[in-house]
Amino acid sequence: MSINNIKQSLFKLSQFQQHTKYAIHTTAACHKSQAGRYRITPKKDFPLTYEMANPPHQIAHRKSWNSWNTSSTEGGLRTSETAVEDMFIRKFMKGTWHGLFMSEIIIKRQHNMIRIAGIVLQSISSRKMYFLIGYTEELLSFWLQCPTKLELQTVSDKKDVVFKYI
Amino acid sequence: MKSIFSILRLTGEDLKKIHTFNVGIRLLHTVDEKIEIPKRIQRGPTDILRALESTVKKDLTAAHYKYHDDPFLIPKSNVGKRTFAMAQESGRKAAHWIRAQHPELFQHQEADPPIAAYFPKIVYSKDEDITEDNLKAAIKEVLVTDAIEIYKLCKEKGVELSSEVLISFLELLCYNNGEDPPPEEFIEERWFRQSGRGREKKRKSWKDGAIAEEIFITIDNPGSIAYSALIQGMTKYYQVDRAWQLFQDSQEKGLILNIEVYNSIIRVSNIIKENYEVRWNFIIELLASINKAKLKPNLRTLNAVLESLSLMGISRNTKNLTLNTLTEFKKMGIEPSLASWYYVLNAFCKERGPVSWILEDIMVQIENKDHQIQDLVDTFFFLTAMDICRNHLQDKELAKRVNKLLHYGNNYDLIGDSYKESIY
Repeated sequence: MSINNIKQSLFKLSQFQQHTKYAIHTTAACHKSQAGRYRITPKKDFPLTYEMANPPHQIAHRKSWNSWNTSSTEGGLRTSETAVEDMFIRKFMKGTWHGLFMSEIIIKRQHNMIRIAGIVLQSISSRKMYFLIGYTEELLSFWLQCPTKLELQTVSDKKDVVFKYI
Repeated sequence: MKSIFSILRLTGEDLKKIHTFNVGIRLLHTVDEKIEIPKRIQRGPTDILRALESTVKKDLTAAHYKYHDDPFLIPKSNVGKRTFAMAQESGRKAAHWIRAQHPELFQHQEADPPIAAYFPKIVYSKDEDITEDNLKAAIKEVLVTDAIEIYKLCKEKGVELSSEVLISFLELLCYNNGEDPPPEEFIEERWFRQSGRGREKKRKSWKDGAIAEEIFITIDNPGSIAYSALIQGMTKYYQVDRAWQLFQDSQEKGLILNIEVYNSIIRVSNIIKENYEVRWNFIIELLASINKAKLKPNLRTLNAVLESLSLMGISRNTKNLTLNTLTEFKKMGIEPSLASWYYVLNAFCKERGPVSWILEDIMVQIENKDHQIQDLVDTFFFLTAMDICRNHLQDKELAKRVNKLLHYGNNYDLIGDSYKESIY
């Protein structure tokens, strides 16, 4: 066997090894071409908010995060708890303020304080809205055992939050 | 010489400057400079925050920060203010109710260290062990109904209670008339409820034969503290006759009551004695007995005397007595508070009486000062003063001065409650 032959077989072996390496995914599939994007409808009448219109790679460029906390930084505390609590808060808000939230629910954490922001439709009277504010703040405070505050803005029409139709 | 100066075109003024310059240089040479490092000023943890805060003024055109900053959610009228605040409060109450209904769901511990306010309330039942410490804790937290419950359980189970605990329990009951005060966390309710308080008719609301009196009887050989507590409770809730009886009782026993008891008796003197003359003599007697008991009258004594004076009609005599009282107390080193001035205004400016300009003299005394609350009635001053400016004197300049005083420093804290604010 000449040295050339050995070289070739080694090269093939390394190629084979490379293939086996990539054959199994050990991390989650990202689906970068699909995730967080909306498909164009035939009639082009699907409303998108500004947040929806920008794909994920625009985060920190044209739009910002929906959860603000330091749990993912180095030495950050309560990583999993924060994620689960945020999901809980989102579900709670969606259920309590049924069909009222026109935007994503933004959750901001500073020290021991949680601030929940969003845009709400003016379809119920402001008095009822104050009742819901009081109820949500107090119950979430009891549940999460830290001061919780709502920071709401209201819009009179659903179309006010539409950025474009696709 | 003269010619040289004229050539240089120097004036007399310039010459003076040159002279002082030379002197200055000479001084610099002789006095050796010493850098003095100022002594360190001790600062509190919030001093920097306070300094920063002092640079920002209150935005008088904005809604209160308890309302959401959104055109849809900002109240547009006083009714709106009230409804929105109360709606939010009732939402909070709903959350409290849910927690009370399902206490088992709220037992998890997120916060470290645990925060008691986020946990459901403890319910006392017959099965559990009750000790004196439970009662002590309830008294400390001003949980009146809970304390009564625990007391009853203690009695059923025959738990011994020390006399100190009993006395502090009695004090709690007398102060609150055996009812729970409106909870502190629902500030809106307090803010909107106290509206009518000062103006409502003074009628008897003391609970006769209730648990407070029961405890007073169980304490054998009640001392001056027990007497003081009960008398003050009774006068606060206008059970005047019994209070007076107890007062005389204690005097016969030779007990020395505290000054607040005398104050409260003076305060209700207009119910004990009908006639003005008799009433004034009665007050004088009480003041004399304060002196005899070697007690030092305080600001509340002054306010109590002024209050009963302000209820004595419009005679010239009343006005003189009011002024005399003020000077007398001033001699003793007791400065009148806003409440005192409120009573003075009440005594001088009656609806049917002659027009009195005493408010001007008062304003001179209190203008440009940061007032602290010293008496519950202090909060009535601004309302009355403005009312007098408007209806009694019809003086715009004076009204502006009153308004300026209200916005001086932290004086706005003395506006009282929502009702007074809206009227103002």
